[in-house]
Amino acid sequence: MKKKLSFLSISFILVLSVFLSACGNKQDAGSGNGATGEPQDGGKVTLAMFSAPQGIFNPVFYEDQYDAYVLEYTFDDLFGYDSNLNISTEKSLGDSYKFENDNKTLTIKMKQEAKWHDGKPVTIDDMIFAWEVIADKEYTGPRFSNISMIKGAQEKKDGKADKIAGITKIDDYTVKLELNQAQANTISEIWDYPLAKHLYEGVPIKDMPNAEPTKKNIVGNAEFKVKEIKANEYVVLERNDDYWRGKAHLDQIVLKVVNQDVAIGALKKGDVDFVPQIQPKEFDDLDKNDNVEIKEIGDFGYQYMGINHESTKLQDQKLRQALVYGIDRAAMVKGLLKGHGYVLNQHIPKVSWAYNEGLDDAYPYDVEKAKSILAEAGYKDLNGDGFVEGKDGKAFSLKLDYPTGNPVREQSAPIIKENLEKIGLKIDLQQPREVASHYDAVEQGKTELYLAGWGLVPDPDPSGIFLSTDTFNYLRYKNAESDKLIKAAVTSSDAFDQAKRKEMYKTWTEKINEDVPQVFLYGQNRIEAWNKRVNGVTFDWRGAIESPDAIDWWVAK
Amino acid sequence: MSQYIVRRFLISIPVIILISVILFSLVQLAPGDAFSGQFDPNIDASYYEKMRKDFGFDKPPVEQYFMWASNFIQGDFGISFRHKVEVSEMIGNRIGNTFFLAITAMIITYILAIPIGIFSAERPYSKIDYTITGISFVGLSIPTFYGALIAIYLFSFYLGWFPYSGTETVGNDYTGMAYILDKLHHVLLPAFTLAFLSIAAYTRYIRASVLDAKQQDFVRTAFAKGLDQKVVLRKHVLRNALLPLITLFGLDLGLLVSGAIITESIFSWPGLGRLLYEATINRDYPILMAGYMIIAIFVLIGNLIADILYSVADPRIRYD
Repeated sequence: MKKKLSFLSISFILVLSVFLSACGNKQDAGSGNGATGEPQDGGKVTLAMFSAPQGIFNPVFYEDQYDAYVLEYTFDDLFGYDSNLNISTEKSLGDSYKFENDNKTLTIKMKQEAKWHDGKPVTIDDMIFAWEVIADKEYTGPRFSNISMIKGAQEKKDGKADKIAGITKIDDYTVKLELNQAQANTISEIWDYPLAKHLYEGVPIKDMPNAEPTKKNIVGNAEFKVKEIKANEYVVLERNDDYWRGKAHLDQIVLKVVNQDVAIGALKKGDVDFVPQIQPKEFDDLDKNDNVEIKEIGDFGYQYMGINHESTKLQDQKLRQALVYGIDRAAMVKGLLKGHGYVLNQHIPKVSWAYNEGLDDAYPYDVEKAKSILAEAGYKDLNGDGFVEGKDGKAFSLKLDYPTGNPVREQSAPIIKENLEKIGLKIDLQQPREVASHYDAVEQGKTELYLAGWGLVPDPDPSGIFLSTDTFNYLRYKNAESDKLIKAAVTSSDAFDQAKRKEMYKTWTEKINEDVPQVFLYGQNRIEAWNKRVNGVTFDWRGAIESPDAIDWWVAK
Repeated sequence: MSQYIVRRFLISIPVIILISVILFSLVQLAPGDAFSGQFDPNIDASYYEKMRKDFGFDKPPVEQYFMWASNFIQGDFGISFRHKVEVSEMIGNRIGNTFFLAITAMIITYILAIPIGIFSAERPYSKIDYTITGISFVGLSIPTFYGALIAIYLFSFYLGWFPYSGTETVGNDYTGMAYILDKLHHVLLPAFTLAFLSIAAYTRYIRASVLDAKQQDFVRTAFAKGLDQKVVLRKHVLRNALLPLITLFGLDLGLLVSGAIITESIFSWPGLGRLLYEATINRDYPILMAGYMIIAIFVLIGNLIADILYSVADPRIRYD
């Protein structure tokens, strides 16, 4: 019986792989794109989304990442980044900005050419309107922390003022902001998507997320307009002929919900043109396909093993260092990520300008060193069972919790246990829990060691996570010196010079690297693939899909 | 009979209340809430505190239950914690798709399973019977996600016969018949995938049931009277053999609305299954409660219809 069953499954796998290769071959014959020559106008491309957008197509209110995909092509903001992560207004609505008065006053000037899709000009009033809405106590979205630096925003939120006191309109395209304090990352932090005042004025703020201009007749201001929304299935965007940066080449971009496992096949077949978030294990297969362009770049996120610093078991710095030496992170990158990632020793990801190269080789995998550090710290195997006992001579083990949902992370948990048991630490590996239960335990400090990950923004400021007072400091890591360094790297006058700021983060990453607030595991690459029939695609740290250059995409007829 | 129906309806009310209490308690007992694990260092932590307060998470569970129940009775299903969208809108967008897929799958199941089951039972222990049995077991053993992926690779990618995602062609302007055909074109592949497993199961039920009926005394009597084989089968065997199908039908009616998580996910079919699955992961209980209450009500109705059909099909059963 057993034999028969296994035979069956093998034959099914064979059948499946025959189809797979058949699909690939069929496509090869059909497409002969040049990828060179003059851009042509017209045509459409299809982008796969793995899940349906929620349909809140308003930058001030959306929270869903697939809503963000639609907003990416339909709404512009005031400030952007260039491909080297420097702040740039070249492709954005902003024109210039200037700090004065010890960096406590910020003057923002907007371009005058931009229009909403209904023809009305985008002015500073729309920007001010967005700030006033976000500061209102009726506002239900999550953006308040992006305007809290403006003087008077908190007072309005608390109901003590009708307007944000720190905003002064100079003319239709210029505004002056009074800031609570000098802050080097103000431009990256401040909310910079205008909200169409002529459409939303008069709509009660709590009804805005479900108002008509948010859900049905979306009026954006970027290179594409929303043409059709089929709830939970697809969104069709069409070219905005009246765009200030010029006309896009494509007629349409279709964003279509396609299952993650099916999207790869659809890409090979030529049914979809762009697929985001490709899994490392798919890379080689797609790379071999002649019709598919696949690229990768380090992402603004990483995975780590958290350490609960309130646990009495984890107070010893030496023990924490042994944890890092004892985990074979390079093998994880090679085996689980198939090389599409890198070992990390700091909170700042490799793609950032503030990344500290000096830490690349900190904590190499070294079983002997880990063992000797443990012995030095007083953790010794007294009863000869292969595991060390605590300093008090009693049995010692550490609990490791991890969540489901990220397949690579799930696979890494048993490996970590195996690695650490090799250096003599007994690990009590818990059953994986779904995300809500896992993070509930983490938030309440019921864990000892736990696996988790961060997705970060381009600005390297780690406050929000690493300050002793931060709510999201689930490590419960308290270090006054670290706090001081983090704050100085944002608020001191030196911080306004990027080179000096980088130096400050170098000091900070080295300081806490020695103290091991958590075990940094790996950074995973962002991998995206698209059909080669689409030309003019730029791929930088944003990937291709979130690049501001969709205006340049074109397909040969 | 009408008295029986009224009585059954009245009994259903406390059952539904009980179901809602159990559901609500289960959701409350699960660790974490809709905002656990939802941290983003760029979003102020106080935002989540505010949301928890706005949605009444800080109130005692009993009070939260009565708040939910009084709104639910008035037809207000609440607002999704995660998506801040009316739950009635989210469910309303999807329930039609779920019905459409499930009913198509059910029709395919009945059309194929009944003849195959009878055919198989007429020739018990023959080579063809063993073949059908074998295929049924294969059908029962294939995991849905695998079957669905094979179906997509074979029928969509390789042969190009059917689409593999959504319920209609992107950006279509079809009307009338063309629209219906487009919808059918999209539903057939997921419906077949969904039906595959139940066809296998139904074939086995029907085969066993027909075989069983054939050995009854009244069948032997019918043959003894000299009736034709076909007449015996149609008039005496089938009528008795298909009775258990009514029970299955009643159960299926409840499953109609619960959706098929895996099939819906792989075919990107916007139905209830996927919504409820995600709501469970996210602890989004307005969606969960509304969704499961609708399923519970359908199961109760399904059972009621099955009981009524029994009395029609089987004169031995009487309800007073």
